[in-house]
Amino acid sequence: MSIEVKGLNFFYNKGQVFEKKALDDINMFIADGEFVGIIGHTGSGKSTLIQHFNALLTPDSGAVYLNGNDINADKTKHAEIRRKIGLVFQYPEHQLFEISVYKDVAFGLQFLNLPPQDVDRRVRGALKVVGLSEDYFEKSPFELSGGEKRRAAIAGVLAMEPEILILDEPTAGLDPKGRDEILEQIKILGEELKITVVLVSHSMEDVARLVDKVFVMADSKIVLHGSVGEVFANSELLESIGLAAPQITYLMKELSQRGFSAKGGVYTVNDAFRAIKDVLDE
Amino acid sequence: MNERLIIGQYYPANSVLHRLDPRVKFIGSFAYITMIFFAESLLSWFFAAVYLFAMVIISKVPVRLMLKGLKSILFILIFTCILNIFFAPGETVVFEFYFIKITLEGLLLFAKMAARLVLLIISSSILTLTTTPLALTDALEFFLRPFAKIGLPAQEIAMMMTIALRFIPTLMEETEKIMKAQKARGADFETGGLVRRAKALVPILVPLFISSFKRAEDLAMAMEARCYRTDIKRSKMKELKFQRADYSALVCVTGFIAGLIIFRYF
Ligand SMILES: Nc1ncnc2c1ncn2[C@@H]1O[C@H](COP(=O)(O)OP(=O)(O)O)[C@@H](O)[C@H]1O
Ligand SMILES: [Mg+2]
Repeated sequence: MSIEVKGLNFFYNKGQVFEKKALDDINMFIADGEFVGIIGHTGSGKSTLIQHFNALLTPDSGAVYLNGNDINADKTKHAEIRRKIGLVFQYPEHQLFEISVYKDVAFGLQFLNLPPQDVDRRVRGALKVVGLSEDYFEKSPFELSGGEKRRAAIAGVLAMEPEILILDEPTAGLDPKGRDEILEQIKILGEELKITVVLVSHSMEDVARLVDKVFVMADSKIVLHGSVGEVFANSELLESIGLAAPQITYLMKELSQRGFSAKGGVYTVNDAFRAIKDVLDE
Repeated sequence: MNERLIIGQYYPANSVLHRLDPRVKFIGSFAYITMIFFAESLLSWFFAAVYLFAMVIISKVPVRLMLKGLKSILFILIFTCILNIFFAPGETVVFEFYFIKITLEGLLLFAKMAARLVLLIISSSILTLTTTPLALTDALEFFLRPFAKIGLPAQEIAMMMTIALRFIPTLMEETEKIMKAQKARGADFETGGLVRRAKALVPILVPLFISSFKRAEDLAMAMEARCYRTDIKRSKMKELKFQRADYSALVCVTGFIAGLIIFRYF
């Protein structure tokens, strides 16, 4: 499923004292099956933008199209659209409420009128993807660790078998191990299911590792977009909006300035490893 | 973010009324509301209205916001209007149509009642629009203090109110967030019968309760860590203190009271 945004403007508290422009003339296109990242400083409007993708927020002007159809043309379709677009909110563990992990993951499925064996298949499938074994099925979601809670919550969205998966800062507040595990699973997901994935993050490292295309947001606008390489090549602009290219990119730049002729445009530690190894092997 | 934490209707502006000691504003509003029940003659009504209008201007709050409070009493106004006009006893008939009889006395009674309600709402709006809820709590604590002698825990009541006020916006934000998250998972809160809708609330209420308890626990811990105790008198970071403007305001309020009493008999 493709997402297209045209001339989108959005205000919080429109017409009230605390009116705030949260999105300013956003235009973007995400093709079917693409893995894109949205990066930006806290408060730049990332979460606000993605909530327009499944009609949780309605634009004040402009439009959002899914596969070419304006999603706000018919409000009665919103519930249906939301079931096709999996949105994992920031800190999704706060949405857990059922008495067992299994039931919580199955929550969204009850609205789809599926036969029970399909529900079971989907729940098990989703929990497997996020790496929660059968031992967890009957546990209360509230006795899980932070990282496990988050995985359970993500499974709840995956079970809906969305055509687009949107993740809002899925690694926020996790320790490095938890973060790596989640990112790894997201990566596998994107590759295996071949669905459109939108990853929202303020971590350049995360984005560099996973996505094909990046949109950079600052101050309610999209200030930069393109491939990972194109975006990170613009390190001055990134720095001016409080972001930075991944640390390893700076290291590689520094190395080449000191006469170590590794190839430029390296954004992940793995690439750096290979680039350095290549030079040393020569 | 910070702006959104201020709830109630507080409208930030830089006016004399905003800077006044909340206790003075309390007294002022209280005096005004009491006095409009004494208004009798046309002149006294006029005086009360002009006084209030002056306050609205001084407050620098958009009149639109002031009038917003009136919307909520529109229904009461219309209702009493009908009751008064049709059923009030009176001799001087202005208009008669079958069983409908409108009398001059009825009209007057309604006019007075409506004026009273409108002035009352606007005057309390001025108080809440120019005073933050926290300042209001401070003032309340001050007025409750004398009752501490008869065992009323004034400090604790004020603390509870402060905490409640502080967490209302947080809770509202949280509710909105959880609702959105469940909607994103396919939940539907808008359609279905009563039972279905009530059941749909469970996925919102459970996470909300859990996070509230968690938050309450954290807060209690944080307060204890800072040695909060209820059995001693707490000092304040911002002591309420009368400034010159506050004394002038009190004079102004006294003037209003005196004026209204005098005009009442003309
Ligand atoms: N519910 C809301 N009401 C009012 N303002 C909001 C609300 N949510 C976010 N904002 C404001 O909108 C701006 C963008 O927020 P958000 O989309 O959450 O940014 P990000 O996800 O990039 O951190 C911020 O300035 C934020 O304070
Ligand atoms: Mg966000």
